[in-house]
Amino acid sequence: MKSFKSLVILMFFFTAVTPILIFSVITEGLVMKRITSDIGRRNDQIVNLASGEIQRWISESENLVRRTGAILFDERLIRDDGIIRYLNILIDSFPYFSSLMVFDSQGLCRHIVPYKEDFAGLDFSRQPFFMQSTDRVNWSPTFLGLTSGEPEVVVSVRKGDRIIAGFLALDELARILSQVHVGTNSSMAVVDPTGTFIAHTKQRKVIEREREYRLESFVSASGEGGRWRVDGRDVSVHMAGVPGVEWKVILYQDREESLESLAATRDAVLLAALASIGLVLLLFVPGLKRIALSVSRFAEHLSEIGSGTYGEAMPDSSPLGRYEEFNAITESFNTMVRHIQEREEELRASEERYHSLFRDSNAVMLLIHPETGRIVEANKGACAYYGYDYPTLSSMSIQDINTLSEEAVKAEMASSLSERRRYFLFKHRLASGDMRDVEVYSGPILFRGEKLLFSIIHDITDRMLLQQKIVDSLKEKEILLKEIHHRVKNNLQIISSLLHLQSSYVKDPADLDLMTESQSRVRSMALIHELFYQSGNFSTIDLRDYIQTLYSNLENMYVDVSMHVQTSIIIDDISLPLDTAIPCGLALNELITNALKYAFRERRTGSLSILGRNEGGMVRMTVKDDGPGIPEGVTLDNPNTLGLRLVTNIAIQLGGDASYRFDGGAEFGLSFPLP
Amino acid sequence: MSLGALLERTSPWCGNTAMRIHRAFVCAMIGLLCSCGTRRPLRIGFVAGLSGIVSDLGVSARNGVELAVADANNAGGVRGNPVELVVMDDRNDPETAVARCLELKRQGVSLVIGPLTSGMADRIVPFANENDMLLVSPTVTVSYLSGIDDSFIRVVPAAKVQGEMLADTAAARGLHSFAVLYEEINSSYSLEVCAAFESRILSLGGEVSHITSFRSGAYAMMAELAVKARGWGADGILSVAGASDNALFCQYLRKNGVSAQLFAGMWSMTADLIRNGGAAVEGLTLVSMYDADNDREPFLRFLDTYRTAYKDDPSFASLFGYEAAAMLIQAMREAKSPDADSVKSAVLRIGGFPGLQGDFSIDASGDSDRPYAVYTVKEGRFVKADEGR
Repeated sequence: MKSFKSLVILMFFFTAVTPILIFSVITEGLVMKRITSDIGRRNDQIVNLASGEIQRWISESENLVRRTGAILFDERLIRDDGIIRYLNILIDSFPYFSSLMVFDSQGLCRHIVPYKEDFAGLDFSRQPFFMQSTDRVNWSPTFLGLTSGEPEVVVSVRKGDRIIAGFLALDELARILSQVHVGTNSSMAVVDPTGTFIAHTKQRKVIEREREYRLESFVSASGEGGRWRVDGRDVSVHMAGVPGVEWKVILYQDREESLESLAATRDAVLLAALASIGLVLLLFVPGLKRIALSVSRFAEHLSEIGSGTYGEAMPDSSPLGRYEEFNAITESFNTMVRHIQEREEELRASEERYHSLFRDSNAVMLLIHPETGRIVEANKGACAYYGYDYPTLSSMSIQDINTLSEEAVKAEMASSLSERRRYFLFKHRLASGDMRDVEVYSGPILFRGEKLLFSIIHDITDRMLLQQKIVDSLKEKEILLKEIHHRVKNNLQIISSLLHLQSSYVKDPADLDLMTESQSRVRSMALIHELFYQSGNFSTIDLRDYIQTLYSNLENMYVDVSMHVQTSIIIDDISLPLDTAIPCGLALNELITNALKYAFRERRTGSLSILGRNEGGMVRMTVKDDGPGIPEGVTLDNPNTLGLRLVTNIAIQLGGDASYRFDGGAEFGLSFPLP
Repeated sequence: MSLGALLERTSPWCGNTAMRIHRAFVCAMIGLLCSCGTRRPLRIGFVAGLSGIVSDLGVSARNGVELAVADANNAGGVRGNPVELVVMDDRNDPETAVARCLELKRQGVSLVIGPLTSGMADRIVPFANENDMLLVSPTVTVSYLSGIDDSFIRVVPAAKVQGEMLADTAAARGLHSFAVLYEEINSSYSLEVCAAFESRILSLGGEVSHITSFRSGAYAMMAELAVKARGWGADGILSVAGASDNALFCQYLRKNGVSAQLFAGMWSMTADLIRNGGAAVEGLTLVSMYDADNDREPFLRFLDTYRTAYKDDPSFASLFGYEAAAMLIQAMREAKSPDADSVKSAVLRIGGFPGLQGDFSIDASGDSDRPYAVYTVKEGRFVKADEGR
């Protein structure tokens, strides 16, 4: 039930109208049952009275026949004309017989009244009434009259060789029945033991010798009679037997007709029910109408509020305002409406402010339709920047400005709409034809119920030019630095080469060793410049690459084929700037050279491990071999060689320290902070 | 007791407007709670003369039809639907018979048992042909309706045989001259019997000296004819009329000293002939298919039922009425629908039917062929004679 009004009407119907109707139906049912029972008893009385009347009629006719028989017994005393006169008197005086006949013992008709010439002498010996006749009065079954073509019943008695037969005036029976007023559609009948109608208020049924074949199924219930259908109508059947002849008197009481007389009662109940309903309607309908009207108006007001037209949900004049149950609702709605109105006012002012910010801003801003690219809104800054007046710009699409293809522009807008990207670089075309580099910050917003792209455009043409100059300058510097490193490396290599050439003239092995060490030191420095040059990174050098290359160079210099040194180089990711890398390289050069020169001199075999750890900003280098170590008495504080002194000095230069210990071999440490 | 019946007992509704309003309301209130389904009765009509001097035929036929309908309903009706008989009296009047058929048609009844006499058939068979009705006659024997594919089916053969058999019987008894009388209203039948009788008598060397007619119920005329008959000198008199008419005519003949052997058609062969004829009809010779002494079990059962119900003996019309109704109901059970065409087709399709005194068949034209026999009234009974075919 979606309609409140329908619900109220339905509830009204079930709570007010239905009980009245049910009450009236039950009342009427009970009243009618009582009345029907009374009618049933009355009908039973009618058939009993009719039965009594017919029984009297039968008794009279029997008596007449019996008396006539007695007279005929003394026929010898009466002449034929006397008999005829007597029979005529009977016929004229009593209504029981249509004719009276006297038969002889052969069944031949001796006398007939009223006289029928053709019947005189006719043989009736095969007629059941004749064949059954005895000294006692007999009643014949119903048979088709010889000349009448209608059913006939004969009461007869035999006296001596004479038989007197009275043909019953069945129409007189029908007259008795018709004296009882039972209604137009109701009827009364008398049936013989076979159920054949011998009298009926509807004469046709007698003439056609219709038969009531339901006699055996008749059940009378509490005086109301049986219920049959007769000639297409519902009837109550009431029945009473006629003693002596086994006839039955039947009353077919049309049910509608029987209750017609009770129409006033029925109508009174109906009228009372209708009046009650009318009264209820009279009382309820105005209230219902007022509520329905109020609810309807309430709904209209709410609908208006829903559509954005704010008025009071329920004006003070509304009939609904009379009901306190609705006051809380209407008050709430009115409060809500006032809040909405205030919010709307604030929103309108805010929108105006923001619109002003947008409209009057010198920053270039556009509202763009994401699918068509149409420029929905352009601010003052945009008009000034692009060189179009507002009407022209607001009638253009972004494709008219953006130099990208239309498909590319739409793809970028779709990307912005889905918020995958917010920042774009484009080239925009101004009204003057100039092409400008712009950066666009764009994202979706809801504007007047429509999802648009809000774009802020910055001209970055000058910045782009400046950036290009910086890039160019940087490239020049890189090239220059590279060249410097290249040339320093070349110069150091030349020095190394000169030392190598010079060493061929040195005869003293100690001097030669000094020359070789110097050459090694120079090459260790050149290697650093070479790595700078080759890596293209002019700020730092990877310590692992450097040490591996350095060790490779030193191995070439000091390790011959007869030696077998197992080397382990494990270095963390450590990058060193040039001014740290060169002294660090010199120190490591000294320590590795020292190990290769002295640790394996006797054994020609051994192990060397070089470790480099970055421990919280401190670089800890360890060069360890399994040789005999430095001679006793020699320490880093008291070095006996330039190399060890150099290591100590470099450690100090780097802000760190150097260490030595012997643990199954010489173990030199160099620690310094990362710059 | 069903809820509907309870309602009816407690609230005896009537048919006026106020009551209809109440009834509609109550039905609406309880309609969803109960449903009562009564099978729609299938109605068949019965049209015959139920009043007047020849109504013995119609009433006894109606009684037979009623028993057949009762038997059918006791056996479950037609596919569960009860059969309802709508009885109409044609008053032995052709125009009334047509009016009754029209009334049945208006009531939606298109299957009719009747008519019983050829005089009625003359008028209502064409009406039935034009109005999609099916007539099933228990007793109409007129020959001109044979061999026609029409809306007329009958369970008895043509009347012509009756006349021929009566002529053969009379000739076999050595009778030579005859007077012939026929009833005028049912002349289609009575004249046909008389014509066949005359033709056969002539062919056998006899003579028919007088042919005359009378109208049913015209007793003065019959009495006058009986007086005249004394001068005809006929060896035999054939009177083709209804039972009561013939009974009275025979009485008039005997009363006037006419001693000629009397002959009659099957039409007269009812109990009223004997009841009303008395000794005058003793020796009367008839031709019929109805054997009151038949000892077949179905007939004996029918006889018992009939006597119990009607306290009377059945006639040939009762027997053929029963068989006509039973045949029609059997066809209704096997027909696709209860309309006249479908039921007629079913009758013709079935072809053979169980009769009370013997099985019978219906040919493609809706005609039947059964053997006639000769009967004589002896001591107030119809006794089958050894004469005839």
